[in-house]
Order: sequence, then C-alpha cells, then structure tokens
Amino acid sequence: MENSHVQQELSIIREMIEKTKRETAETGYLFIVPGIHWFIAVVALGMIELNGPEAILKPIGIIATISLIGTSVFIAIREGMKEKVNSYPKILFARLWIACGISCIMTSAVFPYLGVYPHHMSPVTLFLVLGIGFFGTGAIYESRLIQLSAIVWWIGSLLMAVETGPIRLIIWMGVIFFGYIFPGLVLNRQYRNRTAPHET
Amino acid sequence: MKPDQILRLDPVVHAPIRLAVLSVLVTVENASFTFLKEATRATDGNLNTHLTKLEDKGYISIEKTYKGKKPLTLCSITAKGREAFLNYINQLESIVRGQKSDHNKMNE
Repeated sequence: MENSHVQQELSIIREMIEKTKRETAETGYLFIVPGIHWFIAVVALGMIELNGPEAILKPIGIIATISLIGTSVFIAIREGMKEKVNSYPKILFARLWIACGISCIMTSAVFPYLGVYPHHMSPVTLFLVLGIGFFGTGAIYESRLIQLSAIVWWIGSLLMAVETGPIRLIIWMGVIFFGYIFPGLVLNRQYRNRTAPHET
Repeated sequence: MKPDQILRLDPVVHAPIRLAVLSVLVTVENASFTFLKEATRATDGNLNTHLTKLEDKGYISIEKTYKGKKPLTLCSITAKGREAFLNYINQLESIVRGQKSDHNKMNE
C-alpha cells in the first residue's frame, strides 16, 4: 500500500517526462522540404550550366536561393507556431541554425560578391559551415547518424576544393541527399517513433 | 510511507496535478497552458487553481502573452520550484530506499 503510493507518484513523473519528450521531438521537415527544393534547384542549374544559355544562369540562381531561404523560413515559422512547449534542445537547435544560416549567406553570397574568393569556391566554405550545423544537430538530438552526415559535408567541401569540372554537379547532388535530406528523414523517423504510442 | 515521512513531503508538490505540472516544467524552458492541460488531463478551472497555488508559493512563473493574435499563457519553473521538486524526488528516493532495507531486514 505504502509502496504503491510512491510508485504512483513516480509513474506520474515518468509519464509527464515521456509526454514532454514526444511534444518536443523535431519533425525533420525543416530539412526534408528545403532539401528536396535545393536538390531540384542544383540539378536544374547544373543542366543549364552544361547545356543552356549562360545568361539565365545567374537570375535563376538568385531566384532559387531566395526561394530556398523563403521555404526554410516559412517552415521554421509554421513549425514554431505549432509548438506548445519550448524545450532546451529546440532552443539550441534554433540558435545553432540561425548562426549557421547567417554564416551560409556570408560564405555563399557576400564573400564571393566582395571578391574574397571566386564564386565557384563558395561551396567549399558553405559545406564546412553546414557540416558544423549537422554535427551540432546530431549532438542535440543524440543521433550518431546525423553526426556522421556532417562528414559527408566535410568530404564534399574537400572534393569541391579540388574538383572544378562537371563532376561538381554529382558531388552537389550526393552531398545534398546524404547530408541534408537524409538527416531530415532520420529526425522524422525519430519523431514518428515517439508520437506513435501517443496516437494509439 | 511512514507518517513522519509524509509530514516531511512538501504539500504543495504532493498533489498529483501539481506534481505532474512540475515534472513537465522541470525539463523545459516553458510550456503553454494548453499543453499542461493535455498532459495532466485536467479541466481549465482545475488546472488554473493548481497553477495559481504553485505561483503563489513562488514555484512557477506565469506569463500571459500572444502568439500571433491568439492569447497564450506560458508557465515556467523558478529556481525555488526546481529546488522544491528535486527535494521531493530525493525524499521519494529515500522512502523507496527505506522500504527496501525494511524488506531486506524482514527477509533476514
């Protein structure tokens, strides 16, 4: 009787912690949707670069970048509006990606524009920053797979530094798929696993 | 649970809904009234009464704000509330330990 009272109190604590964990799980949509968007944009730009008129390459590149940033911001706001709980991992995740997002804009747009390095070298630094972002994300959500996806970005960065030919397009595609869409799918699977018992 | 141990347990934390609320808030920065209502399965009025008790005791802080155009009530645990919750857990642990050693002595 006495023991059951204590056990009841402990089960309340356990149940609440579980419910909070489910509520604070990351959906991964922030990577999946922009990742697919980015993948399509890179393929399209690569095709234009190889076969199409060079004059439209820059305007299409700018449109693709702006719409990619727009999609990411839209999903981040939409996910934020649905949140009922502010957890420390979510706060860390948001701050990490704000820092990485600013660094990405600087390394891929501002520095090449200022002539710090040629435009075709921007993926080298961009990929380094994204690698840090995914390494941190993996640590926050305790996923070794996401942490390992950071290596894809760092290897991609190295390959982009030495490769200047058409193989860059394949490197881009591989890195976006395994380094961007794949971590999103891992997070989404974690989210579904956590929410599944809640729905039944 | 021995009577003196029950007396030592913080009566503010001891109520199931208040214990549930503190269990949620101790793991997060803040939680909305809606989430606490869903998690504890309490009614609006009942939860409100318990939150007010916790706030009066200085265990939680309640902030009324807006998310877009919708009103939003955010609750977060204070340092005093965190300490009270951890003390409560320690007391539960010591009760369990006491019961285990009593049980072992009886078996011997």
